[in-house]
Amino acid sequence: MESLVHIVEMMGGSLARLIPYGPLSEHLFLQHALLGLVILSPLCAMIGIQVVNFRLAFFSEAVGHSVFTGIALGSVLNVLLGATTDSTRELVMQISMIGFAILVATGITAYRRVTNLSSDTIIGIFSATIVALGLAVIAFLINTGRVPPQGIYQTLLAGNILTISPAELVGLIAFFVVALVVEFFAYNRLMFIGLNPELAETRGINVALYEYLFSALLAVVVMFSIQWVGVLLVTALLVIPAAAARNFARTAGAVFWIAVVISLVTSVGGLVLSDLFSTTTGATVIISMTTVFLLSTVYRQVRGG
Amino acid sequence: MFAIELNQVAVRQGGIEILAPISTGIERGSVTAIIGPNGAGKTTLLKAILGLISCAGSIRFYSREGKLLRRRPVIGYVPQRLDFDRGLPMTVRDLMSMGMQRLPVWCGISKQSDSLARRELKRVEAEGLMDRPLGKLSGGEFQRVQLALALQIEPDIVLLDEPVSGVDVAGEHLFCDLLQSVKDESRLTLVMVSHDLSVVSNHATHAVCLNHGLIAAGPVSSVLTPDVLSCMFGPHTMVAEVPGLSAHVHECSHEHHHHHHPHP
Repeated sequence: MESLVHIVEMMGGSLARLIPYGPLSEHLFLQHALLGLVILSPLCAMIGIQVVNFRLAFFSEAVGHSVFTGIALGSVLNVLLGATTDSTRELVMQISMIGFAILVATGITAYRRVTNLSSDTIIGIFSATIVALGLAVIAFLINTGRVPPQGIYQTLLAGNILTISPAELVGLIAFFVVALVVEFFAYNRLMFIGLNPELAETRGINVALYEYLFSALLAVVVMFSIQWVGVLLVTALLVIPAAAARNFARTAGAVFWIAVVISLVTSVGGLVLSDLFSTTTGATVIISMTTVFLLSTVYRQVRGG
Repeated sequence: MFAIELNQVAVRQGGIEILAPISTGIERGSVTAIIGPNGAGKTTLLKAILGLISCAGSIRFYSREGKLLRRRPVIGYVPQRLDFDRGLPMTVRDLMSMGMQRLPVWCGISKQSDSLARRELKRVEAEGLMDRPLGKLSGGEFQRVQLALALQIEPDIVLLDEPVSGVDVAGEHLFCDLLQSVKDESRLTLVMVSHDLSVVSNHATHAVCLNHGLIAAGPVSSVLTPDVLSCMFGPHTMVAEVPGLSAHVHECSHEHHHHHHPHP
C-alpha cells in the first residue's frame, strides 16, 4: 500500500509540472486534488454521455441522495464493529456508501423493469424514502450519543476535493481502470440500448444485464464525485460536459472526446481558479462547465440545426 | 412450407387478454401482412414472435430446408417510427457500425465495418446517407436505414411494424418496391404490420387478419373479402381498384349494423 501511495504522489507531482500555476508545485494537497480531478473528470464525462442518452439525470440525483443513508449505515456498522482507528472507520464508511448506492441504483432499475409506473414517480419515491431513512438513523445515532455530532452533512452537501487522500486516490485509479474496461466493451451496446431497447434485445444484446451494469457503474461514479462536488452538484458534473459536447459534435465518436476534453479542462481550470479566488473547487468547476455549455449553445445556434 | 408456425399463441398482460389464442402459419418466402383495427393485437403478435414479450402457446421456427429449429433464429426487426432522440449526434455510419463492431465508436470505425455499412446501405439505395446525422433523415430515409440495420444480421425473416406510417404515398410505394427487391434477392420471409389496406393489397402475398383473435388468414386474394373486412373494421369498408384481387370489395350493405363497430 505504501508503495502505491508513493506512486500516486509521484503522479500528482508530475501532473502539477504540466500546469503553469506556481502553488501546484508547492502544495501536496493541490497535487492530490489535481490528480483526483484528472481521473474523475473524464470518468464523469464518459458516464455522463449515457446519462444524457438514457435520460437518467433524475436517476443519478436519487442515487446521490442515497449517500445520506450510506453514511448512516456506515456509522451503524462502525459502532457494531467497534472500529477504533480512523483508517478503518474511513474504509467502512466508503464501502457502505458505495455498496448502498449500488443497491439503490440496481433496485430502482429492477423496479422500473417490473412495473409500468412512470420512472420519475418511482425515482421520486425511492429518493425521498432513502433520504428520510438516512436522516432518521443519523439523528438517532447523534441524539443517543453513539456518534459525535460533527458537520458530516456539510461535507456531503458541498464536497471537498482538496481533502482527497492518497489512499482514496489509489481506490479511484483502480475503479477508473475497471470502468474503462467495462465502457470499452459495453459502449456500443449501451448506445444501441439508448436508441431503442427492444431493437437491441432482438439483436441478442442482454438489455437487462447492461442496464444493471450501467446503473452500478453510475452509482460508484456518483459516490466518488459526491466527495468532490457534493450531493447538490453531482448531477451537473455528469450532465453538463455531455450536453455541451452534443452541441459541438456531429458524430458519436466526437461526442465522447469533446465531452472528455471539456470535463478535463474545466475541472483543472476550476481548481486553479478556486485557489486564485478562494472559492469552493466543486462550485467553481461547475460554473466553468456551465460557461462552456452556454458557448456550445451559441455555437449550435450559429451553426444551425 | 412454413417459416413460422403459431400454435394457440395468446398474450395476457395485467389480467387482460390482449391477444386471444391464435393458430396460423407464416409461409416461407411470403410477404405476410398482419392487419386489423387499432388495438387488435398486431404489434403484440409481432413482439411475441420476436420474443420481446412472453406468450402462451408455442411459436415454432423452420429453417430454409423446412427443418424445425430448436431456438428462435435471428430475426430482423424494423420497429415502428423509431422513437429516438433527434438531438443525438450520431451519423448513419455510426449507427451501422455500432451494430457491427465491438470496438467502441470513440476508438474509431474499423475499415471492415465501414465497408459493410456501405454495402448494406447500398442494398436499400441509401448509400448517400452514410454521413447524414440521424436527426436529419426524412421518414422514408430513416425507414431505409432501419431496414439496412435489420439486414445487417443476415436474417431469414424480417418483421416490420407499420413500415410506411409517417411516410408519404410516393415514399410508401418506393419503400415497398425496395422491400420486394431485397426480399427476392435474399430469399427473405417478410412479416409486416399494417393498417393501410392499399399497401397490403398492392404488396403483400398473404394476410393475417386480427381483431383480438384471428379473423382470417391466407393468400391476400382469398382473405380480403367483404365479410372479413367488416368483421375487422365494421361495415362500409372499401378497397377499390385493387389489381389482382378476385373479389373487389365495395360498400357492404349491413343495414342493421350501422352502429355496430367492433371496439378494441
